[in-house]
Amino acid sequence: MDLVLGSRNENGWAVLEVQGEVDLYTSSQLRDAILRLTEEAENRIVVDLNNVSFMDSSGLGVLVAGLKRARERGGELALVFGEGSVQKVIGITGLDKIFPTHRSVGEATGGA
Amino acid sequence: MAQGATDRNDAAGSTVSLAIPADPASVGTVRYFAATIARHAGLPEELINDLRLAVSEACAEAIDTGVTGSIRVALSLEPEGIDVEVTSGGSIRQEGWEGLVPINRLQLIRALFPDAETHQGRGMRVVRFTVPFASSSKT
Repeated sequence: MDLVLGSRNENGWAVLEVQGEVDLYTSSQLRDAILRLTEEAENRIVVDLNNVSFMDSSGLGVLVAGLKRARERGGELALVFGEGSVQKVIGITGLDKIFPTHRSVGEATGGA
Repeated sequence: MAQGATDRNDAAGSTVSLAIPADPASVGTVRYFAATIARHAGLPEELINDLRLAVSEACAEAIDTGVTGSIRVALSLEPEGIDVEVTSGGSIRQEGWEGLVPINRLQLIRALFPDAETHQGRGMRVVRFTVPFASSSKT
């Protein structure tokens, strides 16, 4: 039940695509991927959650830590997701007021 | 992986339970188990997603606290909804799982199911909540 993670650059942003279920077991993989990007001085990060079918507060904790780390370095961490369970857990915890959120990667990177 | 599943029928309704080791790798099995039971009971998909999240948080919370015994998840089909009980116990590890989570897992469960409650005693911790058959749309 691993996550599938991939990254690319788009309009000056590092886009991290996430696919699968983010929970207590898999959230460390997401954390490592975000850490790797920030260590590579990629501090403008878009995390694409459109293909995440489940996320619990373990995943949210990793995203919050990533946001803090990016902002400490003068960057930003934005989230992309559509309607569904990810949107609900982000909304119910109020994190939609903390993260920049977008419906598409193009919208997040200013390319659309 | 799951240690076992049992079915029980009594006058109050049907209860199905699953016991898993207190291992992060097993939490996904609980979500699948709960969703399967809920779907079979005719729960709307939105509530199934809420149930998956709540049982996942309850199991993760038990693992976060360092429980080393098994975690038992029981779903009882009642006329108004599904009663869920997540029971954990056993000794506490010296080192717990790292506290990455700034969000209180139990508060999140209560946000989904306001009747959620926890009980602790005699080395056991229980999280209980009810998933109503009708969605009250809390978003």
